[in-house]
Amino acid sequence: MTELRDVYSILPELLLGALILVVITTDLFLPRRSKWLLTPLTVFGLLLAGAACIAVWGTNRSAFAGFYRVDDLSIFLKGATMLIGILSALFAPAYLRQRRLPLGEFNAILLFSLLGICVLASGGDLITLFLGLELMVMPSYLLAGFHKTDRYSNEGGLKYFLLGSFASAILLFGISWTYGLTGTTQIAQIGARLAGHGISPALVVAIGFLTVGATFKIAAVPFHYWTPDAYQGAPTPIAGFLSVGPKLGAFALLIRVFAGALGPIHADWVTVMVILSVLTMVGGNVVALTQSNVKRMLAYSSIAHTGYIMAALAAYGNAPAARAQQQAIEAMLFYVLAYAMMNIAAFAVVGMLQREPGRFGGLASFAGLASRSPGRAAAMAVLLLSLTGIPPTVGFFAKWYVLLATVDAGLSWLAVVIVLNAALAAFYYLRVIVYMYMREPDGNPAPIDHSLFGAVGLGLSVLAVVLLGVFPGVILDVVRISAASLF
Amino acid sequence: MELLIALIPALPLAGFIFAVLVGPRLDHVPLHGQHGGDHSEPEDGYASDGAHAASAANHSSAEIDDSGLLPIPSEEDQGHTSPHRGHADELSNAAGAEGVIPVDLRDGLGEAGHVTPGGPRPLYRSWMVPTGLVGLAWLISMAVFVSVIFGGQTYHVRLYEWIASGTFRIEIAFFVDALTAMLLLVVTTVGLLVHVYSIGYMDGDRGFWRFFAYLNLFMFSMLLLIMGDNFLMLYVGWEAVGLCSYALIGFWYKKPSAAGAAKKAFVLNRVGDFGFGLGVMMIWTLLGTLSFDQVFAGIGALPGWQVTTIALLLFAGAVGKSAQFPLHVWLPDAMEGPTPVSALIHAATMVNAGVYLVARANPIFAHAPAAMWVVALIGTFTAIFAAAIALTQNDIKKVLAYSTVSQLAYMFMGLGIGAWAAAIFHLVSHGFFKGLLFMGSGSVIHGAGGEQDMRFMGNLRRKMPWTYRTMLIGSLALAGVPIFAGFFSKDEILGEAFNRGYLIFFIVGLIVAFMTAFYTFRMMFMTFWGSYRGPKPQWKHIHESAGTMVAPLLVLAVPTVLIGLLFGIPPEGGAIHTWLNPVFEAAEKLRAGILPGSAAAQEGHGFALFGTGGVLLLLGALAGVLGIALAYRWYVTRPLSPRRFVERFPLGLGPGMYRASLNKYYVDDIYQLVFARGGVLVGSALWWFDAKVIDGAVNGAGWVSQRLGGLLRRSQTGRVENYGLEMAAGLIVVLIVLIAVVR
Amino acid sequence: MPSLSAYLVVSALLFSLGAFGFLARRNAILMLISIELMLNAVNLSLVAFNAYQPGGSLNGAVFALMVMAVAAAEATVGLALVIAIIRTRQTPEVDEYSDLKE
Repeated sequence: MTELRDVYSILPELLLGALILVVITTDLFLPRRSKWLLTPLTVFGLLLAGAACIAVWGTNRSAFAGFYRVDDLSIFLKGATMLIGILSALFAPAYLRQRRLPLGEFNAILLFSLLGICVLASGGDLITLFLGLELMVMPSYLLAGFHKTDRYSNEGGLKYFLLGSFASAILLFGISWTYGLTGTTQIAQIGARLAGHGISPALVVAIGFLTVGATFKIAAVPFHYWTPDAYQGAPTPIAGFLSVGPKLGAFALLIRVFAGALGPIHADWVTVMVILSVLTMVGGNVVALTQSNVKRMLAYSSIAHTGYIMAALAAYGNAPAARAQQQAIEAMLFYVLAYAMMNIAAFAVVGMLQREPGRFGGLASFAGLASRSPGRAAAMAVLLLSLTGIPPTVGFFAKWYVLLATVDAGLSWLAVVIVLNAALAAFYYLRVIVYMYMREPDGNPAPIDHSLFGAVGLGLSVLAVVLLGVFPGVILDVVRISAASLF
Repeated sequence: MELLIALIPALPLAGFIFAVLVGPRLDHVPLHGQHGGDHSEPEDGYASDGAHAASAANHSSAEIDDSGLLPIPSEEDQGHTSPHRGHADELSNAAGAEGVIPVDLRDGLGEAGHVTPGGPRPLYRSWMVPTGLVGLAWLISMAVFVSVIFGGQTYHVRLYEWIASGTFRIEIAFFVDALTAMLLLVVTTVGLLVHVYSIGYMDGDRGFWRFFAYLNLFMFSMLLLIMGDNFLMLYVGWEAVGLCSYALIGFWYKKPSAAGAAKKAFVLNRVGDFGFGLGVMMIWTLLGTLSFDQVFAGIGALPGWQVTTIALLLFAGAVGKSAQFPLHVWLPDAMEGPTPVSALIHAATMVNAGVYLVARANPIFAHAPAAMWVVALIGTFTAIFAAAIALTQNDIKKVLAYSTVSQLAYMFMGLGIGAWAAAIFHLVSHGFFKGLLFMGSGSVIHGAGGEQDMRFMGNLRRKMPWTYRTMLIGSLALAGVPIFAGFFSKDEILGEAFNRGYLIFFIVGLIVAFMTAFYTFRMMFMTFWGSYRGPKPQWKHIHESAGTMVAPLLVLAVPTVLIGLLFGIPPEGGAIHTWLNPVFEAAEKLRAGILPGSAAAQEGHGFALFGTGGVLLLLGALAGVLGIALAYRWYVTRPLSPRRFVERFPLGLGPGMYRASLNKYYVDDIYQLVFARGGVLVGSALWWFDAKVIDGAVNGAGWVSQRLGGLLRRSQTGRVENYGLEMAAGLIVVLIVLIAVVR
Repeated sequence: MPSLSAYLVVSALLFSLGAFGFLARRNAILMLISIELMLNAVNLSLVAFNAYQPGGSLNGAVFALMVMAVAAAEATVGLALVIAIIRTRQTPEVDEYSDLKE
């Protein structure tokens, strides 16, 4: 009977896996004209999987001999994953059709990556975590290079792949030594064994490798170099997915490894995390400031956002009490979710304005958008304000909770750095708004994508950004319970 | 009532959303190029912008060479003043219709949206819903005002819990007490009138709907700011009004000066906001709450230095938003925005936010005497400093801008010495009369074809009698002439300064009052009196502004006359004290034990017209009247022949004055030498300080981050092999740090 | 049976060799092979750790098998990307791919 319960507790993953098969099969039989049906199919499947997440909420148990951990934290992340999947599936079709890229393959590869994130979120063992990670990033490499005939997409995909594999090898090396030194691959047992013993030089090296391997995946400075190139090369809605999906998974990995396995020795890794966090915020922001291409600017700004989330992880490491630790995890979860919704939609708007393959989403394409398409301009303005962290959007609360967490953890100076960085970020985000509302369109602006799916996706994310900003209480309880399940 | 209060900010928000989403579809502006005509080339807008910029540069250089006090421009100057000459015909064609924006003031697009003779009129409908909603909000807030002030009620409307994390709770709740009601009165009244005024002023602008959207967003943010019941909502509104101000200053973004001014305002406000944000953070970390009640209840338990730090951080925000030294430089530049914006945001509402913040946080400041001193000193210094600059400005809006800085500083001086109610009184009266003056100046600029330099105006009262009359009322109020609003409120601050024993503040205040009266009437005389000094062909095109623009002026003239009488009689003990007493009572009691002079103030509260109070009142009035008299002497007397001067002078004092004025050249030369030269020298030194030191610091910070960005950006070489090496190097650094930490 | 350290030294050497190859090579396919070398180095250490672990659990060995499977998948994905880029750029040299930068 235990096995049956195990199977039931991975219902969302099972549904996702089934959906992949259905999508691949359906794609074979659909005539070209009806390929668009794949999008509602995918969205429907993801909704089902999301419903399954709700069904298994509160399970809080280890499945499959401890290899799989189904707790509220993982279910929260899976729910967020489904949301990201739905938004990606809605934003991509118009862009892909315009460039004659196959929709069926996109959906299948996307779903594989989502499945990887789910596995990663539930990883209770280093083996599961590694498998989930690879299942997440390998489809991502393919997605980055999805535009096969486009030299930029190729280049971005290959760079992502080479550096990503290199980082995976580094991470794996760290994992193997952690295993060797603690004698187990189970997260819970690693924590227990580390709590008893001190830290050995070999373990320090292992932690170093783990840190580098994991922070590469979230694109922390100085391991961020792949990010702008991969995002800029990738088809724009896909860049939106890459900037949030794999990042969500990588943060799940960080929570599992650093807050779970390495939690007992948090005093040893917190310094590195603080330094990386500051480097990441500042580096992402100052380079984003110099960008005139919105797509690339968003890529750099996503690095800066990584820095804010890492600050929350650093707050976890520095927290004096369990309450403050939990608050830090809450801040991470809330930020990741908020960031996912706003960033993916912001990329999508860039994609909507970018109708010809050659156009790269420069600032000029935003000029005069307010009069060309008031709805899209207003949506983008809301998203950018949220990314800046201006209340009452969800982005403000995300930053606010990170600030709370850092202050409570005794890292007040880090909070000041975050505030300064947010002020810096305002310049490049608001510049886009200035272009939309205070410039005339250039001579021959590209037509705007007015597809229904895109509009629905954009409406959904903007609504969420505003509603969660005005009523953050709705999601906060969920976040709180999720974070509590880790302790 | 509770629901109605929540509606006050909600209505402008609805208006904003409507304007953004539907507005663009409601306006129909024919594209300029479609109609042809000699001014139609898109470049023309640019060219005239350029010409204007050149002439502006010329003006400012003249300002320094030549005495700023001299109203008569040289011939060369006149030659340069022709950016508008070429548009004279087009103005005359359009003048029959409702107001038309002069070509270089039009929407930053330059080429777009103005009416070509014979072409179809553009259609503007996007103002209706936003203005209507603001009107509704005004009605409700008047009801609330009456109920709060006369019914003695306070409202606390809790909508819902916004943030609840652990012990930290923030509610979306509106709190309306007498202080908020006073601000509601100013914000919604001036806000509504500015909406009406803008219908006429912005006519012909392609950004029409955008303008109304911003205005409504601003109204919403400002109402949030004054009605929130906790520091977080205050902060949210604070940031939002800053954002709207940025958008509205840069509204004509094709003018490089406007874009630059917007950026400057944004940056300097961020400097202040940063302090404010830190202050709020500090309150939260120390007290664990941000709601006004709880913070004010708990603040007394904190050690003194912490309270002082909090107060100073909050005041840093106020310095930025209310344009006090040394962050004041953005406000004069902000005059690049459309004039309704200057009237609404940069005179009557947003700049008052700093005063409101200090007044609202009065329990905090009352616990921090050192911070009170800082407030008073900064206020006093800024008051005289800004007034000194205003003396030499030739741009009509710049005079008013520096005057605003100076008057806000007056309020801070009042706050700093504990004259809370007096400061708020001055805030209310200043909001009305300065709004009136700004809208009047907009009407002048509008009617004079975009000219802002007063040296090219003169005798305009013949052409725009209503603008003249209303502005005269506003100027009398600003100058502090008895029975007008400014007289009573200014006198209260001066009186309290005297009664509490801050003699030096009192004297400086008196000098500032004199200077204020002088520059105000210098402006009035240069603009409306004397003879016309602009280009001759322009004269016949100058016209009174449209009804939608004049009507708000008339409406605003009413409170400008009445508010002082209603609120301020008897002086220093008027109704306003009774109303505001509950808000400031605790702080007042507390200070009695801390600062010297407060006891005296309590004794001195019994005002007697023939006692000390009466003398002070007289002194205040005298300062104002003397200032006006001096301005009259210099700006009206000199250019006219003595005979006409005698005829015009009222009260039959002409012959006596005539004899005195025989020596006017002699006296003028001395003034010229002592005051004018000296004044100009000081003025230009201050100008230099503004332009070089403060601007330099702001630009420097931007430069550093840009450089750093450029540097990091270059490390992104695009080559995988470099990325790999950089990663490997990062790995080694991480290992080193780890080993260093762990040991 | 040699000591655990010996296996670990060989594994570390292999890993370094792979890392050096990745950093020094310019040919995308050779870089891919270098990564495989690194993964195999990890496999060696995993199996060695497992062999010297008391208790007889097989986690390390299983992990090594998983890594092999992942490595195979990685090679597939990598080769697909390399082929695609060779089609548009006519060269496998990665230092030719620097259109995206700054």
